[in-house]
Amino acid sequence: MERALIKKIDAANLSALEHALWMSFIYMSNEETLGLLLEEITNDPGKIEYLTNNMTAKIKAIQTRDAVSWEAIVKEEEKH
Amino acid sequence: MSFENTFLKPSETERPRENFEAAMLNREAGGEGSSEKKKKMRNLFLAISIFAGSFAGNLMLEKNASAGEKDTDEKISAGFSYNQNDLIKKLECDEEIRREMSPTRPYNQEDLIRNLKEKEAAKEMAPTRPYNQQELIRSLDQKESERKQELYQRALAGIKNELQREANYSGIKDSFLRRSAEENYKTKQLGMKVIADNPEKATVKMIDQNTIVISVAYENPETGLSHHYDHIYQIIEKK
Repeated sequence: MERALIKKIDAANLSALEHALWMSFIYMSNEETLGLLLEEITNDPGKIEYLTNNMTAKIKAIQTRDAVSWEAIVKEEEKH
Repeated sequence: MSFENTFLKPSETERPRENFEAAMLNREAGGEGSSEKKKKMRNLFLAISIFAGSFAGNLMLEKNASAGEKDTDEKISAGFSYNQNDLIKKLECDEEIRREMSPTRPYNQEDLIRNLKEKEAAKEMAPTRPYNQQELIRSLDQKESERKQELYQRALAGIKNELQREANYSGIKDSFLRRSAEENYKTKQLGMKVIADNPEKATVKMIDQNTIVISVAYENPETGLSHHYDHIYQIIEKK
């Protein structure tokens, strides 16, 4: 499963850092989470870019303790 | 999942693991009426949040540790580029990951450590950089190859046992069905015999972690006809 995910992430238009973040995420996540991720990006190849933005925005919001941005991200997630 | 509750309140950052799990369960319960897809996405978002929290926590610690030493263009506002090197350093071995993560939220730390322990790859790749794609793929290839070999050896032992056994179809009353079963078994036996006697003629394909297919082409010495035999070997895990 990890290999299939890596292929999908390789194929996506991501920066080196975004790529490294996903590699780290894959390494640290359990099978169930990886299964969900694989399913999502298989069904919708564009989803990886959306999820990448979601991840990097969350990191930035936490780093900067920006509660407003965080709430906006979570609210936006509810649409999915 | 509010930002404040999740990441800022000291009392929340110190809350015990069971509280976090309860929160997750409540979150689950809240979505009972929603579709399965929504639930999956929510779980994925949650996993990303936990990862982001852990990652950002480490970065903030790095920033605090190096306050006054780093140049301004290395600060958070510049993006995450400077963090890449830190990430590389952090992921160099499991022990280092654990040590680095310890100051972050306790529940994240436990979750991540548990995941790391659970993953066999974590042990195998500990001295390497886990995000290194080539190494990760090589490790997966090696694991797959070992598993394939293990399944093949088990299948071969099963085939050899099967060849020792004499099939008895006398219980089948209908003569046509009995003959058909006997013929099928003979064909199967021939295929198995070729695999057992000439394993180099067989090709092995791994379907998943528990299933392989051993294929062989052979000629029936009695009829001179060519046949193809696929022997499927699968381990069914008891739940």
